[in-house]
This record gives sequence, C-alpha cells and structure tokens, in this order.
Amino acid sequence: MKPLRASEPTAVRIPSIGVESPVHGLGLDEEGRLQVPSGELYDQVAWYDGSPSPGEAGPAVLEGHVTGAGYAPSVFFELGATRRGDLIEVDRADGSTATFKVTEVKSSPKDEFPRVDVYGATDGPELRVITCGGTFDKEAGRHLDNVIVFAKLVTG
Amino acid sequence: MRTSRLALFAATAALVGLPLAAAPAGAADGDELTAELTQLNDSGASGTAWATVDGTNVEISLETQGLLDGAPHAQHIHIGGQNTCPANDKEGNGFEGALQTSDGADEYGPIAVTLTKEPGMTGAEHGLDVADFPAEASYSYSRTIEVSQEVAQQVANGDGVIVVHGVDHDGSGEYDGDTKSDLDPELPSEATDPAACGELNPAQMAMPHGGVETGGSSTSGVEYPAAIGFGTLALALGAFGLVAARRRATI
Repeated sequence: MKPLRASEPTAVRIPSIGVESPVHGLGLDEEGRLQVPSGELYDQVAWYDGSPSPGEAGPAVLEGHVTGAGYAPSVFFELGATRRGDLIEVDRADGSTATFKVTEVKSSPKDEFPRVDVYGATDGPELRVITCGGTFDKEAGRHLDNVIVFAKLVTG
Repeated sequence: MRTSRLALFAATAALVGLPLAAAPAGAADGDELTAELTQLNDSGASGTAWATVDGTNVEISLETQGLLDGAPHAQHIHIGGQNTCPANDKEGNGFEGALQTSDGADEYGPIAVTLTKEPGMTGAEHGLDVADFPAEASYSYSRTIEVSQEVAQQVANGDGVIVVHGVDHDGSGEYDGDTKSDLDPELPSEATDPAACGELNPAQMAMPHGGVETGGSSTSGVEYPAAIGFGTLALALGAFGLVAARRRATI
C-alpha cells in the first residue's frame, strides 16, 4: 500500500469488537515510557504522537486501557478478542479514513515487551494497538501482560 | 510528510520558548535502527536486531531463534551491494542449490563488522573466528563495537544488513557434508551458509521503553506527575524535533 500524507488521527473504530472512540495524542514520560490516557480522557484511545500518523510509512501506535477504577471495562476491554483479518478504521484530521487489517494478535509479558517487533521500522504503513491483559497482579496493582494487535494498511 | 511533523514539533517548542539548535547539526547519534531477521535457505531461523550509533561506537543487539543448536553462528553487519537481503527461495552454488554466502553478495555486499562475543575481534578479516560466535539455537547477543567513521555513518544511514550464518541442510545435527565453504575450504559449507538476514533500517519514531501501563487501578486517576513541568516537556519535544530533522537529512 502506498503511504498516505501525515495527518493526525481523530477517531478509531474496530467494528468486530464494537469499539468506537475519539483519539488524542500522548507522548513519552521522562523515562521514555509511553504515557497512558488519564483524567477525562481515561476511557478514550490515544495515539503516540512520536509515531507516524496512521497511514504514513512505519508503525503508528494506538493505545487504550483495558479496565478502569474498580476494574470497570474500558475502551479496549475486548481488544484481545480481535482476530486476524479484522478491520480497524482510523479517521484522520484531513478527512480521510485509513483502514487497516489485523495480521497478528500477540500477548507478551510487560518485562519482555517485544520492542523491536512493535516499534521497529516497517516498509509500509502499519498499525499497532496496545492494551493490558493477562494476570492482574493485585499486590503490584497492574496487569502483567500487554496485548498487542498488529495491522497493515489496506485502504487509505 | 515529515516536514509537517517537524513543523509541529518546532511550533510546539517555539510556544514554550525552547531553541531547537541544542545539538550539533548533522549528527546521527542516538538514532535507533531495527531489523527483522528472516530465514534464508529455508533454515527456519528468525529474529530481531536493534542498533544505535554514537560517534564511531555501534551498540547492537540480536535476538535469534531456530538456529542449529551447539554449533557456532558467524554473524556480521554486511554493507554494500544493494544493502538488502536475498529472498529465502534464492538458490546458489551450495548443497543441492543452497545459497552460499557469496551468492548473496549482490544483495548484502561484503562483511563490514564481525559480531563476535567479547573479547573477540570485530574487523571484517575476523569474519570466521568461529570460536568467538554464539553457538545456541536461540540466543541474545549484545555488544558495543568501535567502527570507522565511514561504517558508523553507513550503519546510521540504514545501509547495514545483518547476516547470521550456519545451516544444517542435511539435518545431521552438525556442520558436515562434502560441499566446502566458499569462504574457507577448511570448513563445510553448512558452517558458513547464510541462515537469517535482516536490513537495519532507521526506526520511524523515538521508540518507547518498557511495556505499556494500560491496565486498571494502577493508572486510574493518576494525572501526569507535577515533576513533568513544561521545561522537561519542552526538552523532550525539542529532542523529537531534532530527531525528525536528522531523519529528513539521512533518509
């Protein structure tokens, strides 16, 4: 697929799991970690604004919470149920929609996060959608795994 | 397309009053490069590579799977040719049409850096110092290697290709067979035939570190720590701007 021009994402839809959310930009914290949605935007999807915009060459990175306070489902509660071939539609500020097809769904312990697979260089436009999953460690107050959906641009 | 992102960061930095010219112009230091290693010769091997260049130091790490266990795997950064990998189904002059190392030279060029373990030598002439290479089916390799200025620049530009060698074509569990290596007639060709290859390309972003804390109660209600004031934010944004500027210059 030919890459699209840069244009920031404004909304995302994953019809197979009923996800529909506005998208806001987030950066890295002082330790180089990806910041996560918080406050009023807690239950919305974020785009890592240092990554390519969805449709540009390279892996665009989207993230969202799996649960909120009291373990209430958040925007990506069902992300782990996506399957190869599912479509992900990303609306962009220029009015276009970039549509991606899921190629792989991975679960990985956070301390063995596959950094190169997820964030490394790609030839064409791709998408990574990240949330948490796996065992919830009550003592540490966190999920031990990340669920990562890999997708490639099919129409833009 | 990068122009607009650069412009965005520049504008943001300008808003918070941070000059963008904080680092020497033209430096490629700190850019991250990645490679996905895929099989050659139907070896079943795969992996990833990561590198960053700091002056004439190349820090590099490899993660491999699916190689012959208990046999040394020569590994190099090749530079030259088309700076690409041959296709897995490309045939050559080896055992039953196997691709030998020199059969892929049009694609990946000659050895530029030898990825031995400490304290092995790392020059091209040490490409077959077999005692100094990892010898497991799956391994993690990491080393910082001093190279020439030219090689450092070529790696930073994305010209490097990682090649991992050693293929057990006949499934005997060791390097053997009548076909001799095209690199050293004292070695069986299985010991030096390429098993996996990946092109080291500049990452298209500043790659985040660690996992992503998109869980439940650990993060709910936590606003950005006050410590991340505008100053830190501005510095980070300034760094992004510089990275974007460098990429424009080097791609």
